[in-house]
Amino acid sequence: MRALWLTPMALLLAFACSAPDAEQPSATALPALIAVPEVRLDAMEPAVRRQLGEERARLDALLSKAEPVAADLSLVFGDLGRYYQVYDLPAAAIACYRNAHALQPETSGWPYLLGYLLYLEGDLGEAAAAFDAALRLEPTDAPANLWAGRTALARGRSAAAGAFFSQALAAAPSCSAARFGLGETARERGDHEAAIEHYRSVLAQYPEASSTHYPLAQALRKAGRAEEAERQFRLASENGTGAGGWAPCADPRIAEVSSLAVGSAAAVLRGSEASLGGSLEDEIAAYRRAVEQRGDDPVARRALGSALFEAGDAEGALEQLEKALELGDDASQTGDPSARGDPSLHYDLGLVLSKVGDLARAEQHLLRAVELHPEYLDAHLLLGTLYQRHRLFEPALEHYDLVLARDPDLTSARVQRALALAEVDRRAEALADLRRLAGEASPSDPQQKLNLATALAMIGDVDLAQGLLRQLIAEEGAPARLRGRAHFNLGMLAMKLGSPGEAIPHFRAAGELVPGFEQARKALEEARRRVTSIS
Amino acid sequence: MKVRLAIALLVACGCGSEDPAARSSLATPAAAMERGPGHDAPAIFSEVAAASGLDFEHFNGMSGKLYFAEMTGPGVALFDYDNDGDLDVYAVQGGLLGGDLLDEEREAPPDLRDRLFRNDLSVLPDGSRRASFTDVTAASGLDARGYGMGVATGDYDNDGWVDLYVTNFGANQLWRNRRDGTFEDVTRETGTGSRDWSVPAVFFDLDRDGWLDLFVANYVDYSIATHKPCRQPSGAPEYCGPLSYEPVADRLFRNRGDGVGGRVTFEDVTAAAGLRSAKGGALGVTVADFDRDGWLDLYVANDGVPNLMWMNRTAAGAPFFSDSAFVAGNAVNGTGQAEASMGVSAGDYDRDGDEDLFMTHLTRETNTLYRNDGAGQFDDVSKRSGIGPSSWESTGFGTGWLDFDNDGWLDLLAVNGAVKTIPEQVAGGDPHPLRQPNQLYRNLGDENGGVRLEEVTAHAGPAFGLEEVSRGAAFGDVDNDGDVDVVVANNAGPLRLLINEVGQDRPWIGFRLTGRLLPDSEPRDMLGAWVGAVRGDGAEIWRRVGTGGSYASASDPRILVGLGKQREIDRVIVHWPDGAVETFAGSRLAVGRYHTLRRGEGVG
Repeated sequence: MRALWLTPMALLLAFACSAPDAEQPSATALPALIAVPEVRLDAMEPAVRRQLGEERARLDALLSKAEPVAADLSLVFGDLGRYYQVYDLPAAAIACYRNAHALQPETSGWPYLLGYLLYLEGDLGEAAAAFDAALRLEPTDAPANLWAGRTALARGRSAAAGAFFSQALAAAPSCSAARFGLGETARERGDHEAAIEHYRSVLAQYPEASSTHYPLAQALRKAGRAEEAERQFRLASENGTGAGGWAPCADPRIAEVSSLAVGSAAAVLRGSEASLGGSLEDEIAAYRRAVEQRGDDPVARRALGSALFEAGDAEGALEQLEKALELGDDASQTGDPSARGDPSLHYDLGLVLSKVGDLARAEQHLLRAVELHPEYLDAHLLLGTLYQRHRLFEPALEHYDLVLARDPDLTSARVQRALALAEVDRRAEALADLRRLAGEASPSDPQQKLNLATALAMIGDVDLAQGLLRQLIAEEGAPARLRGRAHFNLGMLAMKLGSPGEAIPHFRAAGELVPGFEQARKALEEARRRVTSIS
Repeated sequence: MKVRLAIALLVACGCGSEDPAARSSLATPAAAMERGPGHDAPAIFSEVAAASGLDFEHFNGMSGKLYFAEMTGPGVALFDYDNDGDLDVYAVQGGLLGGDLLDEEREAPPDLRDRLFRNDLSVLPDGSRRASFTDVTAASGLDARGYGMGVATGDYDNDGWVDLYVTNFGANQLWRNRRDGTFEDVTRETGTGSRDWSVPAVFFDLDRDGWLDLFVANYVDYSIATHKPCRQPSGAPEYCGPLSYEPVADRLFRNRGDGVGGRVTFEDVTAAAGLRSAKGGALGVTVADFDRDGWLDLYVANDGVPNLMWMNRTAAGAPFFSDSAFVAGNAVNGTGQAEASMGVSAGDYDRDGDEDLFMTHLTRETNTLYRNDGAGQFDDVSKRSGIGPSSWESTGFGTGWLDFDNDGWLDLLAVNGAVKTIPEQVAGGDPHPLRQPNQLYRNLGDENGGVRLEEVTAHAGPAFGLEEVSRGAAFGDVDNDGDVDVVVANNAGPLRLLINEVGQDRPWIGFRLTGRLLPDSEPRDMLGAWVGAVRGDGAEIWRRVGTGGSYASASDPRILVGLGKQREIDRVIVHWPDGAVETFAGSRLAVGRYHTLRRGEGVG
C-alpha cells in the first residue's frame, strides 16, 4: 500500500483520473488535481461493477467538457470517492476526496471523509490537516472533533486530543466514544482518577462497550485500587472484547457512505459485523437484504440460513440452506473433482434436519459431508448422536471412536461414547472413562460439565454427578440457563432418590434462573404433591 | 464443537544511559546512520542470499481460490545442525493445495520439499567473513514434503545435536539429528504427531527435568474441503480471516526423558496441564519467565482474539499452566481490543531486568509493545515508545528484538506482508497482491525518562525497499562477526539473507550456554537460561537463551551482547533453566569473541 500511496506531492497537472483519454483541462482556473489509482472491476459483483462504472462515466463526461465547473467536478469526484470508500478501495477514495476538496475548499464533508480514511490508513499527519480543514468550516461538528481527537491522541498530542473530545462531547453529549477519548487522554497524562471516571461513564452510558472494562482495570490498578481493578479485569475477561470504547457515535456522513453499497456481498459483510457485535436481529436483517439484492447468491442464502437457525427458525433456515445447495455453493470449492461439494453446507443441512426431526435426510447430508471430508469431526460426532437417537449404538460408537482417535480429549465425544457404551452392556468401561474425564481435567466449559454430570447420573455415579452439578451452580461465570439446568437435574436426582423435599428448592431455583422453564414448573408441582402426600 | 452453523464471516485479518555524543563520535556506519538522513550512511543490512548460495524460492501453490493456508507460511530456522560452529539454514517449503495453479503456464517446481542449507563459513584474507551455503537436503535424509508452515529447533534427546520439529498444514514431523549430518523422522515413535494446522512451535524445559518439552501452537480448523468463499464488500474474492473458522487448541508434549539419543518419547499433557481451558487461532509463541519465579512461561499470540499468557505453575513434576494474560494486562491492547497477533518476541528492551513483549499485527492495528513492570504486570506502551503509528499501514509477521548496532539496547525488526489483497496491486495485475516492505526500528535508549524506538527503515538497506510477502524471520550471527544477521522467509518469494554491516564495529561479546543436566547426556544449548552481562560501568544487560519467538521460525540460541562504548565485561550471571545460578568472572572473558559458558564451571 505504502509504495502506491499518492502523496500530495504527487500532484499532476492533468485530470488524469486513470482514464487514458481524459482530456486536458481547459484554461479555467481549476486547481491541480491528482491521479486516481486504477481500480479493477472485473471480479466485482455485477451490480457493483455497474454502479462504479456509471459513477466513473459521470466523471469522465464532466472531464470531457471544455470548461467544467469546479463545484460540479468536486461533487462528482466526492461522490466517486464515497463509492470507492464503501467498497474498501481507500487509495482511490482518498485521491477522489483530495480532488473534491481542492475543487471546493469551502465544503466540510470532503476533508472530513478524507481525514477519516487517512486516519484508517495510518497517515496521521495528513489526517490531522484534513480534520483541521473540516473543523475550520464547521468547528462544532461532533464526528470531525472526535476523529481529530483520535488522530491527535495517536500522534501523542494528548492535550490537543482532550480539547477535541470535549468539543465533540459538547456537541453530542450521547457520544460515548468522545468520553472514552477523554479517558484515554487522562490516562496518557497519568491522571488515573479522571480516567476511571470517564471509563465508568462510558460503561454507564453504553454498557455494550464491554472492552472498556479493560482500560478501566488498568487505570484502577495504576491508581492503587487493586481489588476494583481485579473485578474489572474479570469483567473484561468474561464479557469478551466485543464493542470497543471507540464504538462509533452518530455519524451521518459515514452512514450515508455505508448506504451506497449495492450487491449482496456488502450486505453479508454488514451481517457478519452485526454478528460480531452480538445483534442477531441486525444480522438477520442484513442477510435478508443481501438475499433481496441477489437471490442467486448462495453465500447470502447460507448466511441467512445460519442466522435463522440460531434464532430458532429451523424451517426458515432449512429453506435457505437448501436453496444455497441448489444454487451451487460449490463455488467455494476446489477445482479438484474429488473434493466437489461443500462438506460444511451438508453438515449444516444435517444439523438443521436433525433439529426438525427429519433424521433420514439429516443422515444423508452428514454422510455426504464425511464422504467429502473424511476427517470432518463435527459431522462424525453429529452422525454418532443421530444413530444413538435411533438406538443404533454400534454405528454410533464407530463415529465416536473415529472422532476420539483424532481428538482424544474431546469431552462431548467422550460423554456421548460413554452413554452409547452403557447401552451395549459396557457400563463399567463407560463409567470408568467418565470418572477419568471428571477427575483428570474437569471440563471448563459449563455445558460440557452439565453433559458429563448428566451422563454420570444416567450411568450410575450419582454422587459424582451431584458434585459436578453443585460445582456448576457455584460458578459465577456460568450462564444462568446452565445453572438452572443443573438445579433441575439435582432436583430430578433428589426425586429419584426419594427426597422430594430436597428437590423443591432446586426446581424453584431452576424456574427462577430460566424463565419459562416448563419442565421445572411441572417437576416442582410434582415434588410438592409428593411431599404433601408423604406428610 | 460447533454450535453455530458453518457460516463464513469475512472480518477483514537501569542501567546507565549511553552518551549520545560519545556514540556519534564513532566513525562507523552505525554512527553515520545515527546522525540521520542526509548523511552518508552505508546500509545497515546487505542482502546476500543469492550470492551466498541460499537459493530458495517458496512455492505456495496458489490457484486463485484464495485458500487460507497458501498465504500463511513459511517460517525458517537458523541452527547449527552439524556442530561446526556456524549457522545453517532450514527453509520451509509449501506445496500444491488442489486445483490448477493461478499461472496456468507455470508448473509446480520439481521435488517440492523443505530444504537444508549447510553454511561453509570462510574467513577471507582481509579478515572479513563470508557465509557460503550448499543445499544438502538430499544427503541429509530430510524428506519433509508436507505443506510447510514453521520450524522449531532443540536437542530433545540430549545427545548434543540439534533436532527439528516441522509444523505443517497437515501432519507435523519431528526430525532427529543422527549426529552424522543426517536426520530421521521419529514423529510416530516419539508421539509428537499432530494433524492440526500448526504454525509456531517451541522447545523448552517446562518442568526443569533437563529434557526439552515441546509446545505446538495451532491455528484454526480449516481444510481445503471446508474452505469458505470470503469476499470484499464489492463481491470480489478475498482471503478469509481467522474468525471464519473455529480455533484449535494448542498442544503440549512433555518429554518423558526415557532415553538419551533417540529413544525418547513424549506424552501429550495438554489437558492435564490446563491448556485446554483456552484457545485462539495461534500464530506466535515465545518462552520467557515473565514473573521471574524461575519457571519458564509461554506467551501465545492469537489472531483476532485475546492472547494467552500461560504462567508455569508446575509443581511436584506435574505440568500445569494457568492463563493470566487478562489480569497481567497483555491479553488485549491498551484500549481493551483484541488484535490480530502474528509474530511475537520477548526481550528486555528497557534494560530493567525483565522481559517485555512485542508483537506484530494487522494493517489498521498498531504493532504492540507491552512493558513488563518486573512483577509480571504489563502496560501497553506502543504509543509512548513510538512504534505504534508507524506500523499502522503494515501487516507484520516475523519479528525479533536484536541489537543490530551493538549499542547495548535491543532494536526491533518486523517483516511484513498483507493478508487481504491490496487493491492497487490487484489493479496492477500482481498475482500475489499482498506485498509490503519490512521495517527496522532503533532503540534510542533511556535518554529522556522513557525508552523510545524510531523507525530507521530508510537506512536499513536496499532489501528494505522491496515489497514482498514476508512471513518468517530467524535471527542469528550467520557470519560469526559479532552482530545479528537475519534470514527472512517470503511467501511465494525468495529467501532473503540480511547480513548486518554495522554491528561488528562496536565492542561486543558472545556466549553459548551449554550444560549437561544428566550424567549420561551430551552437553547441549541451555534453552531458557537467563544471562546477565555486567559491563565495566556496572550496567547489566540481560538476554534469554532460546530459539523460539518471531513467526514460525527458530533462531540462533547464542547470545550476543553489544557493549556500546564499553570495552570490558565485569562478570556474567547465569540463571540456568534448572534453577541454579552461577557467575563467570569477566577477567576471563575477552571482548570481541564468543565464549562457551558451561553449567558447573561458574561460581555457584
